Amino acid sequence: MQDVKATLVWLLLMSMTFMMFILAQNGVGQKTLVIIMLLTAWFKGQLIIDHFMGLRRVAVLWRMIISIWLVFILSVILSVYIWGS
Amino acid sequence: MCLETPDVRNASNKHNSPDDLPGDLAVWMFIYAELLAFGAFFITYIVTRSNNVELFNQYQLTLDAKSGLLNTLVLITSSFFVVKSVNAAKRDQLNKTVFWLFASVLAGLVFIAVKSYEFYSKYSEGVNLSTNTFYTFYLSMTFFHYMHVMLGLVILCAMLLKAKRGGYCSTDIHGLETGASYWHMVDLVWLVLFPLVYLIR
Repeated sequence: MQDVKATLVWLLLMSMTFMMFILAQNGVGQKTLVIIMLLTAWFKGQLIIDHFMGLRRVAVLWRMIISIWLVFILSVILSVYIWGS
Repeated sequence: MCLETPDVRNASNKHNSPDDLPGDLAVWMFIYAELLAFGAFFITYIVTRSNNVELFNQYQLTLDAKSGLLNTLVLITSSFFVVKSVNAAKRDQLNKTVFWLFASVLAGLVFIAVKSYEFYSKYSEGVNLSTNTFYTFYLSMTFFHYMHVMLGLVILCAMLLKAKRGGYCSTDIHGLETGASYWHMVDLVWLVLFPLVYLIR
């Protein structure tokens, strides 16, 4: 069961990576594209944190530290991309 | 039951409560510190880029995005193999533990080969850290990550040797989870680095 879940997460990560790459090559409106890419990066990162690192069931503090790091970094990237220049 | 002698087994055996982090707490402190370092790199990159958008866009086109894509897929797959190895150890399937660890090392080596080729290509074109601001960031960030992959591979190889001796099983998985956590961190960082450096324009 654990292996099945891990395999599904792996397939999801691979598919989203391909999707992100294809979208980037096709160059949809740049700001929309960047928002989609960063949201995808957040979702993929959270999947790694929860299912590969196995932090889904540990004390909430440990999971929050790394999840907040991810959201913070991606939010700063998005904010500076949109309003920075 | 692990195949190593009981003395060795007991010396490294830790029983975590369900609330505890998988693996060693000290390594998790190291992982959090590493994430802060990479985070500082990422923020500095995007802020510097905002003041040099044309230059960054121009030189980003010289990167091989397909190599970046390949390396992303390879790292995700390697992380997945490590998960399979840990799961096998939890079920006392020692041969599968070794097999999946070996597969994860191979995938890690593919990452190193692809990234080394990228570095070599840039070096052949005369690119170095002082070529321009974009390359300063590109080379330093990706090389910093590359060194983490190298360290991760050393850890994976050490775990592989121990697994071959029957050192991991359902009652002694602490060391395996510790190394696995570090390897997943290397993967997590690349999932932010790849779109940031190769794709965002």
